[in-house]
Parts: sequence; structure tokens; C-alpha cells
Amino acid sequence: MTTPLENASRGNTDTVSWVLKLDDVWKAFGGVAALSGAELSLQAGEIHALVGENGAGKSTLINIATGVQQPDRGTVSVNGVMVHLPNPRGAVDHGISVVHQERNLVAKFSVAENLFLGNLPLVAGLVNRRRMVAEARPWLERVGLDIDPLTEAGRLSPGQAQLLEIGKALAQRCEVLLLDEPTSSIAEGDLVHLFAILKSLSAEGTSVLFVSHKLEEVYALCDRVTVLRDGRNVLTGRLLAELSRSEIVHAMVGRSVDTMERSQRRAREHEETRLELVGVSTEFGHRDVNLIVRVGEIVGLYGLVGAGRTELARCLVGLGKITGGEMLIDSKPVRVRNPYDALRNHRIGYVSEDRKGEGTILAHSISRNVGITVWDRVKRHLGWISERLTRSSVQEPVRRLKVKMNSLIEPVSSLSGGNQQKVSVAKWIAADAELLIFDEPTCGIDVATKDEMHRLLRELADQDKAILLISSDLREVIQLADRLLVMGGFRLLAEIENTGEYDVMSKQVMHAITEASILRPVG
Amino acid sequence: MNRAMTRALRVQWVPLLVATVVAGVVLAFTTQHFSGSYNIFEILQTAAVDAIIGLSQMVVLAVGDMSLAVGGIGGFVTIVVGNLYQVHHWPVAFAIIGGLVAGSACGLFNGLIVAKTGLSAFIVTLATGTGFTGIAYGITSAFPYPDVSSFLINLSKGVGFFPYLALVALVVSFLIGAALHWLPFGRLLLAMGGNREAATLSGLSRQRSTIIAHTLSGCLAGVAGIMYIGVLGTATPATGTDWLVVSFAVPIIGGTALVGGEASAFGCLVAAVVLATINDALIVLNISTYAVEMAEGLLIFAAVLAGRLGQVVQRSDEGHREGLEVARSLEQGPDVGQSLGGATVK
Repeated sequence: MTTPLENASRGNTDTVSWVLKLDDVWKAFGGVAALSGAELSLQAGEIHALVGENGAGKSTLINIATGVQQPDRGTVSVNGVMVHLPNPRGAVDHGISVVHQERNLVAKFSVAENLFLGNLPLVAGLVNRRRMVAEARPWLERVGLDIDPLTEAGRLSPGQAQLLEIGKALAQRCEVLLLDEPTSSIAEGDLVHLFAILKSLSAEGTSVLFVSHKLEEVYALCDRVTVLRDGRNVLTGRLLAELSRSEIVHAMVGRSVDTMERSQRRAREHEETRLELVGVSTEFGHRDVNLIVRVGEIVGLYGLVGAGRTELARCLVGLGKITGGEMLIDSKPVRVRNPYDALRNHRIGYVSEDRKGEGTILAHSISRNVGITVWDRVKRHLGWISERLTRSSVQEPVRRLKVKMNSLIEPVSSLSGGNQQKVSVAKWIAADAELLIFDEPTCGIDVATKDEMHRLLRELADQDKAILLISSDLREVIQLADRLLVMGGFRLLAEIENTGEYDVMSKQVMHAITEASILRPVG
Repeated sequence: MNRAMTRALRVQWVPLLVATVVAGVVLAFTTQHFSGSYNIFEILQTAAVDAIIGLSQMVVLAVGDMSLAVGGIGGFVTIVVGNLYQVHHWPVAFAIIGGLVAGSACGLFNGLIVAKTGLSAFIVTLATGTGFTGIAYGITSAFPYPDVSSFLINLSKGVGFFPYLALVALVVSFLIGAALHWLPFGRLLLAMGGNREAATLSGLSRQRSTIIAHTLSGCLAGVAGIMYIGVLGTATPATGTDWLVVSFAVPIIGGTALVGGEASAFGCLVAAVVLATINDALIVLNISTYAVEMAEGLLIFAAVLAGRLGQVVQRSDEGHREGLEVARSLEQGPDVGQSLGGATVK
């Protein structure tokens, strides 16, 4: 079957030929806009970068380009012809293939079978394994994989698996190859190889869309760049040669500075240190992390996605191993074994970014959710947990956080996103946590609730809690934090005293980040 | 050669088979009855039926689902065949075909409900399985059909120690094994069980795989039910009520992954023989029949545990390797950009 693409002229230099073009694409999920008029245009044979922070809408845009999701409004055209992509198969038929972030291979199947999955060569209704292996070889060769086609796919290294998936996309005769964060889990040697393959593919006329956070990779590989922020284009198809790193970073994270109202720390007599890390390294690859969080202080931990902030937080509550250095709570060295230990013995609470998955049990009542952390206290004879005692001990924190609800026995699922978030905070307050780690506390909640969350954080600090605030929202960090820590590549890049002036601060932060990404290649 | 050896050792039923053979040899020398051709016949006969029951569960497990209706469908098919033969006087061949169609239809029904509503197969088959048993009892008012075709009776005999039904089991498992290996629908089932996302994104249909698996399972449950008619010499609605444990024990001990994506028809055969042998040995040794069930339970547990341990060992192995890679890249320093500079293509 010939796709329209195969008939198309390639490398046409007189007029720009858009191999793939998405125009004015809108998409909302349950009232929350993911894309608001985004666009994307790919030329034949170019390598195009799509960058943006978490939640900027990159994944949604890719899902629409590959038929996984349907846009609410807007059009997709392939080679100048408007198309409808009802499912992934439809996109493949139009020559659009995607390599997803997650490894999409059947681990128990051979490399060859994975290549042709969904389109196995048959003879008389039976799978023709010999032909499958024979036909697999050229594709493996094309992506530079020197492996036996009969190897189990599960035995490949992450880098090889990545190449195999690209081979699979090519075997589907794709003309447009979308790569969603392809470098997140592969080793460096494989990375060099991957980039060489991508460059040779583009030289042969395949268009590549490369989605990444890593600017050094974008610069090393891509011709043009599109930057998304909050579902809109900030930069569209600009030549990378004409853009500086800081321009791109600014486009990615820049926020409007109109209604900045900074919250200030209450002055206090003496400064007790609650949490201190001295030269900490972790199993996730953090190295030499030094930080201090004092009583009544909000410390902002800022960084791009993948900087290692959440991983650090998880280590602090015992969900990851600290492999070196020292962690001190109230100036005493501690070893946190697990979240229970963290809360019970060290009074550390972790408010997860994934409030639906990790923060709350949606089907349970508010009082049960908040009460989880106080079972020890309300436990009666034989471990019986008194519903009445639970309720009385959760009442205070829930009231303090102003959770909008009808009653404590209402299920959490009936609350709005912001109120669900408050419930997940309330349980740590009920448990008397003294150090609270907030991981993206305002991600995906509306503006009004956001302000309320911000006030809440400051109130908690004023009540002598120590707060470590992880956020990708620079505006939020500058607004709230007393000090800013900038993280990148699993290291702390800078510590900046917050002056509250957005322009000055954002410049310093971006300088820290771009500096690191320029310095890093040299090692 | 070496690779084949390590591969064989990785298959979890191999040590079990070895242990069983050793135990069998010991028993053959120490007891009078164990090695008698009648006893061997009994073992193989039981194993033959159990293998088919196991296959019926295995094809559903392959897609990452399960069926609690295997016994219910088996009992229902028994009654359909008995009814068609005794009440409607159908020729035995047609009665058997009718039974298999009925079994497949029951499975198709399950598959359609699971695929179209998205309900969990556990709940759906729990409900329908009970329903099928109920219908079987209802049709016969709980009485068995005593008039059984001589063909089915003869089929439950054999040559010396080798029962004909074992031949049936061999042929059926070969067909299932071949289908899973060579037929597109077999690959579909395993791909869907192995990585649902990958299979769906490759354009394979999840609904189709669910429907096929349950239909095939229903048909196989029917085969097992029909085999039972000859063995018992009567078509009773009680058939299948005690199949549940066996249906899971056989494929799991035989190396089929509970989460899907891996299935071995040959493993089912081996596991069925192992189970039947242990069962028989305990009886020959005059150990209480209650102990037999306990042994079965322990075996399932051991098989699942072995599979889990295998996973853990594999993972810690990988973790170790990853750790080394990270350490190496840290030693070299993160010189991404530099190495990328050299990554241009001639």
C-alpha cells in the first residue's frame, strides 16, 4: 500500500513542504485545558525539538499526532492533506510512528517478532518465522543493532531496546518519527549511537520530532525548536542556531509577573535547624548535596523536570537509600528506614505530587484519609481503631486547612482537586509532622486554590513547621520561598537568597541552569 | 548446548519432573502396586483430563486474564452431550460436536462480557461459572444421565498402561502449543498478555484477544467435560465442581505466567503428570486423602514462589548491572555534549 507520503516530493527547497502539520489544536481533560491552540510543523528531513516543562502539553500534542487522542478542535495535516487519525493504526498508515517513553516491547518475544508485531509475515495462515528473521536483519542493520534477531527482547539493554523501537517504527515505513524523551534511561555510549542513527535517518529524508528537557541534547541534535508552555506555543519552529540557551529556558519557564504578592517569613529570635544534609549522595545518583531547612522557613527546591528533586525527597522519607554523607534532624544524625519511621520518629511528612495515586485514598472518607497517620494515637485495646476518636483528632487540622466539605464522612473523591490536596496535607498536620516536604503542591489545581495553598504553606511555616517546597513553577518558588535551591543533574547548582524580585531572581536561576548545562559537557 | 541446558534449568517444572521421576522409581521398587500397569494407566488417565482442564485455564492466563468458569462450563457441556445423546437420541459424534459448540458459546459469552463491559474477568467468570453449573443441575434436576455412548466408554480404555485419553491430551496440547507458536491469533494472545500497551500501539485489538481466549477456554473445558463422561461412565452435572484448583495448579506449575505473556502447553502436560503421580503415590503409600489436597496446595505455592524468586534474582542481577553502568558513567564524567560533537554522520 502506498501512503500519500511515498508519492510526495522530498527535500523540496523552493517551497517549504510540511510533512506533518498540526494547526490550532485544542484539548481539555475534564475542564482542565492541556492544549490551547498549539501548533507544530515538521519539514521533510529535519530534526525538530519539542521542549517544555512538565504539563506544558507535549505529551498531549504527541498523542494527537499519533491518533491516541482526538483533538477537541484543530487539524492534523500530512503532506498538505488534512487527515483524521482515529487510532494509532491510522497514524501508522499515514507514515507517522512514535517511540514512547515507556519501553513498548513484548519482553518475552524475539527481537524479530517485536519488529513486526501487528504485521507478522504469514505463509498459509501460519507465522513464517524464517521470513520474519530474514526481513528483520536489514532493519536491525539500519539502526545499527548487531544482535541475533531471535534474541528475547527482554534481554536488551535500554539503549538497544530504544534502537529496536526505532527499527520497529521504520519497519512500519514511517516518514515521521516522533521520539518521546528517548534519552531518559539510556547509557551514554548508546546515546551517541542513537544520535548518529537519527542524523542519518534525517539525511535520508525522515522527519524526526525529538521531545526532551535536556537542552544540551537538543543543541547537539536538532535543527529547529518549538517550545510549549501551558498548552500554547511560545516559540514555533525557530532555528536553534539563532537562539541562546537562556532564551529557550526563559521561554520554557517564564511566567507573567503581574500579580506577584510575596509572602515573607516572620522574623524570629533564634534559628533552629530542623533538617540538614551534609555531602549526601543517594542511590538515584545525587552527589554531594548540602542543604539546610530551618524552623519556620520555606526553602524552595527548583529545577527542571528530571533534575532529581522528587528522588531526593523520597530519600528523605526512606523511600530511597542515602548512600553517603549525613542527614541530620534537629542536629542529630539519623537514618530513615521507611516513611513510617520518618513520620513516627523524625516527624517528616511528604506530600506527594501525585495526590490521586499516592496522596489520598479517593474512595475513603475524609476522616479516614486524614486519620491514617494517627492510628497509633487513636488505637484502643486490641488495636481497635475508634472511628469517633479518629474524627475528633482530625477535626482540628481539617478545619485549619479550610477544607470545603459537607462532613468528615464524605468520600475524598467528591472533593475538588484543591480540596483533595488539602486533605493530603491535613493528614501530616494531624500527625504533628515538623518537617513537611511538598512536591509540586499546586500542580494541576486552579488559580484560586493555588493562592489558598500558598497562604496555607506560609501559615504552616509561621506555626514553626519547616518546609521544603519542590516546584517547577518559578513564580511560585519566588513568591513563597525564603531561600532558593536550584537543582540540576542530581546536584545542587546554586543557593540563592530570595529577594522577591522576579526579574532578578529568574535571571539568577536561569543563569545557574544554563551555566550548568554549558559547563557539564566539559566535565 | 550449554545454552539449552541453562534454558532447561530456568524452566520451573524441570526440577519438579526430575523429583517426580526419582520418587516414582523409588516407589516402583519399594511398593507392590505402584509400577503395576493398572496404576500407571490410572495416573496417565487422571493426568490426561487434568492437562486439558489446565490448558483451558492456560489460554486465558496467556492474555493476562483468568477464568473461574472452567468447571462450570465443563459440567454444562457434560450435561449438553448427555442430554443430546440420551434424550434427543443424537448420534454420538453430533452430540460431541454439540457439546463443544455449547462450551465455545459459553466461553464466547464470557469473553464478550469481559471485552465489552471492561469488568474484571474474575467477577464475570465467577458469576457465569456458577450460572452454568446451576443450569446443568436445572436441566437434569440434579440427576445424571446414565445412558452413555459406548464410544465414550471405549475411549476411556487403553492399550496396556497407555490410556486413549492420554493420546487425546497429547494431540490437543500439541494443537494448542502450535497455535500459540505459529498462528497469528496465538501470537496475539501472548503479545497482549506480555505487554498490553505495546500490543495495542502496534494495532492489535485487546477486545479480540479477550474474546478469543475465553472462547478457546470454553471449548477446551468442553473437551475435558466430554472426557469425564467416559471416565465416570455417566454424564453428571457434578462434573467440574472440583476443577478450580486443578485448573490453576496445572498451568502455574507448568510455567505459565499468572500475569500473562508466557504459556507452555507442554508444561501443562508435565505438570498434570507430576500432580497425578504425587496424588497416586500418596494413596499407594496409604496416606490420608486429605494430605493429597494439602500436597497439591503446597505444590502450587512452591511453583509460584519459585517463579517469584526467579524474578527477584533476575531483577537484582539487572540492578547490579545498572549500578555498574552508572558508576562507570560517573567515573568518565558526564561528557554528553563532547561525545555528541563526534556523533555526526559521514
